[in-house]
Amino acid sequence: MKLRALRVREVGCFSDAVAVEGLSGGFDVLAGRNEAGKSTLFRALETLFAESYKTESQKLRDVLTPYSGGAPLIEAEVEVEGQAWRYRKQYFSGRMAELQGAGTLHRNADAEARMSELLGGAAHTALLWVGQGDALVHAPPAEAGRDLLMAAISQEVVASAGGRRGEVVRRAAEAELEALVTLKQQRPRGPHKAARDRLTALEQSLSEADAACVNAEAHMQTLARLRDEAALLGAPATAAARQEQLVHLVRQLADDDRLAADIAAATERRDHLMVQAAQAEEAHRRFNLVMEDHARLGREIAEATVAGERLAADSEALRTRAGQSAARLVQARAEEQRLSEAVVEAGRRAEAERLWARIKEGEAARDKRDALASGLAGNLMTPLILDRVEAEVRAVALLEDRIKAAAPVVEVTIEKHATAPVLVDGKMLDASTSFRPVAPLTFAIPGVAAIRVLPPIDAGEDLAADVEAHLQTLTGLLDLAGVDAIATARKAARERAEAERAIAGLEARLLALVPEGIEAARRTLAAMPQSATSPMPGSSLDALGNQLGRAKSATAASAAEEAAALAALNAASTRKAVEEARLDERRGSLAKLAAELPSNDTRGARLDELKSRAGQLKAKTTEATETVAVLSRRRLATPERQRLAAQRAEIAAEVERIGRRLRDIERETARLDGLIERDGEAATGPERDRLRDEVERARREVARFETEVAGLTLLEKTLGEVAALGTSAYLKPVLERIAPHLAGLLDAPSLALSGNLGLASIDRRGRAEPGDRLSAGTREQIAVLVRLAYGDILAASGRPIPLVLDDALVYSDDERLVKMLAILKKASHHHQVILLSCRTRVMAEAGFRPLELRPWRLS
Amino acid sequence: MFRFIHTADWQIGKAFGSFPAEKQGVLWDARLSAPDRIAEAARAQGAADVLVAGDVFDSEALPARQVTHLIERLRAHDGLTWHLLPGNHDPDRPGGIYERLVRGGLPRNVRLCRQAEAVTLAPGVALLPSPLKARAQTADPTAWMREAATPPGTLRIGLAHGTVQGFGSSSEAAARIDPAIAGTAGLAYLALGDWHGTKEVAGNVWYCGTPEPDRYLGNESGQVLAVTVGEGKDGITVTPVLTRRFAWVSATVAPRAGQDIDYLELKLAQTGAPDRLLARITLEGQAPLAAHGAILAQLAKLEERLFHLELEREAFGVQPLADDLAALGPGSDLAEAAERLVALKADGSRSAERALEILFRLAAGSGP
Repeated sequence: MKLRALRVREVGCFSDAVAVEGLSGGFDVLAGRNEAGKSTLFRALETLFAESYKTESQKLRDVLTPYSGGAPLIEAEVEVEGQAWRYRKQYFSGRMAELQGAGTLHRNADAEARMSELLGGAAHTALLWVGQGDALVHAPPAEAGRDLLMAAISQEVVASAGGRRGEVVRRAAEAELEALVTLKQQRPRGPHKAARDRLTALEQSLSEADAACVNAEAHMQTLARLRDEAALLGAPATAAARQEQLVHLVRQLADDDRLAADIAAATERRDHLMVQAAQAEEAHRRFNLVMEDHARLGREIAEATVAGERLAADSEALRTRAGQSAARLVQARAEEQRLSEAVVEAGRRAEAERLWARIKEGEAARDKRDALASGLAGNLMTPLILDRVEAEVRAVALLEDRIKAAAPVVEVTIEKHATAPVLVDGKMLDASTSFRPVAPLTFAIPGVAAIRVLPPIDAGEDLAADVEAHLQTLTGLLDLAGVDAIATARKAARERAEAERAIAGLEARLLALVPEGIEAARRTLAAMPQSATSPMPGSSLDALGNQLGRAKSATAASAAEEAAALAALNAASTRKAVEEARLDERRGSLAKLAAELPSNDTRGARLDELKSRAGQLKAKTTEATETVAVLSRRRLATPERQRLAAQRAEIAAEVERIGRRLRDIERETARLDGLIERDGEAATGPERDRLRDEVERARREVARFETEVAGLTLLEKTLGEVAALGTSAYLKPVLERIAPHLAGLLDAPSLALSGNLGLASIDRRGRAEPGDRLSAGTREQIAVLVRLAYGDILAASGRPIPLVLDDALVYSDDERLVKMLAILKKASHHHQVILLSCRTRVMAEAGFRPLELRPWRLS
Repeated sequence: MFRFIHTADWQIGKAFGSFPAEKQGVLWDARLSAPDRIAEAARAQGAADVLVAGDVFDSEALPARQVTHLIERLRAHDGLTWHLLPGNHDPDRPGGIYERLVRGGLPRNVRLCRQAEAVTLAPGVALLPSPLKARAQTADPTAWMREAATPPGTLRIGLAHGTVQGFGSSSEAAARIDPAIAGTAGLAYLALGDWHGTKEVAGNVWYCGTPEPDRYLGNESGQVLAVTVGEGKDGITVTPVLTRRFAWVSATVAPRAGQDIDYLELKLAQTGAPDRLLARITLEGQAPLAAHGAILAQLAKLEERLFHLELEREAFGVQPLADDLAALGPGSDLAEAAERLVALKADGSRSAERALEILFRLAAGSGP
């Protein structure tokens, strides 16, 4: 096919009808500036051959329709095998298709079908369109186009009838496989997955039903065992024997229990009788005692009456003796009083004598103290003043030491034969001397020199001033004490201290002798009675003291005698009162006892009666005790009773245990029946049958799918392996056509294509360079070369179609562009090449005319 | 002498969910009409009593309409008395299907065996039924028969539903029956139900099978037993009588040519009319490509004639001949692939066998 003209109206940037006429059918270059409409024309041409006039594609509508709107109209004049055809389509509004030529006019679908037929297959036109940027992508040919191309290649390489059917079958197998599993990971999908899921669910259900069945079987075995056990435990004969034995034991023990109750009653009666007998005995004893007490009290009252009379006589005698003792006591006390007063008088006199002596000694001490005190009046050197004097002396000495230390050392050495003297502050120095001047000092050698030594001004002056101040203070202090030298001051201080110590001793003595003071003591002495200060008449104080002691002893003896007499009287009175009280008490008790006792004439009979009752009750008690002993002998021995009770408990426990076990079994069997009923629902009947059938069916279905998947996978793999072997053969025609251009254009001896004709790599400088790593220009050039090869193959197969390139070489440098243009021109000898290019200058230099658009007058 | 029909496992209302809807209805109807054919058999055999040994209904939750349809069919055969025993599919539980039947009113010729007690079938003949009260009743339902009192000289006929083999077998109830009960309980005959095929457990202990088959079991189902007790040398005669409408047949064949399918069809025809035949055919072995296709095509035609054909052909492979390979194009990629697959298949690869079959199928569609 060759394109001779292209016309458009209301397409893209062309609202008006324009046309590109006069295409050569060989190498047609349409060079124009950007936005001249080249790509619009490219799309229009592609749409005309690739898109049905009936398309509703919104994307195409957006691309094709001008902004101002309209119904895109495209027309091409083509030549197929020498026959001219006019092919026109209008899209969207007023859609239609027309094909006119060879005296025929085809419309709409018929027109498209006829054009497809003329071109050898509708889809092949997708093969050789290279839009802007498409070359960079270098996608393999579209599937349908690839088929056509491969068919053409097959014509060259294989003449067999099979050709590439293997690829068709492989793709069909792949499509079927993809419907059943994911191609990458072979995971089930679609009906295959649904079948597997269904099988899994069913197997789960069946598994549960089987488990329920196993459970039910286990439950049934347990149930049977339990029922056997229940039958054994509940066997009537065994139960009756056990019951009979139990009844016998219960009866035996009940009889013994009744006997025990009888014994208890007899024991109680016996105990009651024993109490009654004891009470009767006690009544008899008490009655006897009361009678004895009554008699004894009568006797005691008589004796007490006699004793009372004797006590009254004794009291009277004692009272008399007490009166005599009291009189003697009064006399002794008077003597004692007299002697006491004499002793007091003698004491006062002695006191006055001692006071007088103290007054005398005190007055002597006072006089001596006063004499010492008057001596101190002229000594003003107090310890305080002395302390301050000593402090000032120490300060002056310290300051002088410091001044001395700060003074320079000036050593003057007098030569042995010195001819001139050395004067120090005008005084001649006799011998070598060392100075530490603390004030300016002038050394002079008459007729030679005068040397003035100045000590450090700051220290020396300040310290000297301080010394002066301290000396003034010291002088003031000595003046204050009335001394003129420090040694005198120190001596005066020692004398003053000694006088003060002597005065203090005298004052202490004075205070000890007359604390109240001498005058007060004299006043005390003066206040004393005259008798005290006058000489003592008669006996001495000691003798009086002795007489007073004897008088006090006599008084004490008289007082003791009187007290003893009074005590004896009191004791006698008390005893008499006690005896009288006891007598009254006995009389009361006697009256009480007399009230308790019957009359005298019946007392004996009563005593006999009480004695008789006590005897009767004792006899009954003996009888009751015998009864208890008899009954006790009839009771079961304790070990025997324990044995019987243990046996009864054992049997009763056994009965209870069996009853409990039977109840447990009953409950367990009911529970198991319930479980079996529940599990049986799933495990039996139609549900399990249905599940088995369903699982079996699902398994078969899954197995079918698996077999199918395995078959399809193997088939696809086998066909792929076979195809891989043939690929190199199929690629050979393409590679052979590209090879002549590779060396000159890319400096690469060969390139590799993938099995589906995509670019794999080029071989350059002995190294394979992957297609996607090549530069944009190189990829672009290879893509064009590959398409040229396709075009050549198709032309060789008798179906030449144009190669249309829309700015497909924009990345090529000028040198390669020129080479590519030469290659394209050469290719155009076999099939038409249409190049739409924006590189107007290069194209003009290459001799190509610019794109020329003419108005299109629609017929 | 007493003659009766022994049947069981009607399972009225059974759903055939794995079948297309139109076939489900037909099969369902075949079961519902089984009593008519049983009645016909009873009349032909001179029996007035039909003992149904359990599983009259497929489930307890049947729609009332289906239950009514059955009862009306039974009512129509007024010369017969139907004795219906609850089985594990339709146990007599409170609120269950039998209570509903009683509440709805029963025809005089329909008797429900709901109690384990002897009832008089005819003078000197007693029926000892053992109804199931639960789906998974575990105790032997016939145990009571040992103690059941009947007048001396009475012919005692037991009627029970359960298994004599063991729990868990296909289509079995949980109830385990000691077959020795026939001897220990003095039974003249023990009519059993549950197992859908016919089986003689002992001379006087029988499973009768379902009157209308529902599975490809080949267990002599689709019939009832005409039983006569109290006559002959052994005192009992048992005669199977066909009642099925549909035959369920399964077969495994390894065809090499179309003639093998012809023979298979002939055998199937002996079983019953094709339009009342359900067949499960399992194909095995291999056949040359042309024969393989022809066999499958022949089976496809057979499927059209049968009521139902379930074909298992996974184990049936293609064995291509030299001509089959040549047809792919000498030296072509398809031929090369086919030869590789044939080699793998010769080594026993099942996948290769299937791949080969797919290859030929897809190649046939791809055209030269």
